[in-house]
Amino acid sequence: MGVLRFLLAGVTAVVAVVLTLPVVLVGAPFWIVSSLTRAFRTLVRWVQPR
Amino acid sequence: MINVNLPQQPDREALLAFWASASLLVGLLLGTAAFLAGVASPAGSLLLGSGAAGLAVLAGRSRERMLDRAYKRWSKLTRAYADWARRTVTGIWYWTVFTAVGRTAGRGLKQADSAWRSRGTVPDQAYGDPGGSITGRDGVGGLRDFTGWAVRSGRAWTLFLLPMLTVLRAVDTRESRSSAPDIYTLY
Repeated sequence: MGVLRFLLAGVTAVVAVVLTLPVVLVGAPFWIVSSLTRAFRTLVRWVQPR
Repeated sequence: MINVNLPQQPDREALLAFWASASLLVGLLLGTAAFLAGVASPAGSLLLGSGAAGLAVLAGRSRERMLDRAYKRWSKLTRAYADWARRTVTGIWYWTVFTAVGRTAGRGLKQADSAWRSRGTVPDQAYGDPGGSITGRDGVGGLRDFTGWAVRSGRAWTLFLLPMLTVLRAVDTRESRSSAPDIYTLY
């Protein structure tokens, strides 16, 4: 039963990941701005130490 | 995966970094749109995108007072997206993995022993600490602890929930320190 559960969860997880991808893609601008902001903030602090 | 939220309580560096990022995004979108529409050559699109991003950065630098307002509006939009994404992702995974496993092998799940035990007299540090909240190991070894727990307890199928947990962590709008506070029932 454990193996069946594992296999079933694996197969459905692939389906779930495919279904989840559009949700992540819709938020692409937010991901980009968020990660760039953190990177630039470090850069700005490094260039202009207080 | 990085959190989708912008840093709370932004200082001047954060505001400038946000504006530079937003400008870069606008430039990227404009350049890509110009290239896809066939309006400009690849070099022209690159130039157009870079120019637009540069102009936007300069506009932001000259009017820094409006940055705070723009930052707050973007944060609000981000929170709205994060709330929607959290609900959608939990819904998708509930109706796929959870339902499939529950319907077919749910009996086995119900018979499984709970991982919860009464504390007794053993010190806190003696217990498993996936979130690091007790030992202060924020996020350190959390994945290893989770994997170890899943294999030891015969719930290896929960390893397939890691993509969902990763996305949920990334769109968490609350001030969580290590693991999302609403996943404790998995343990």
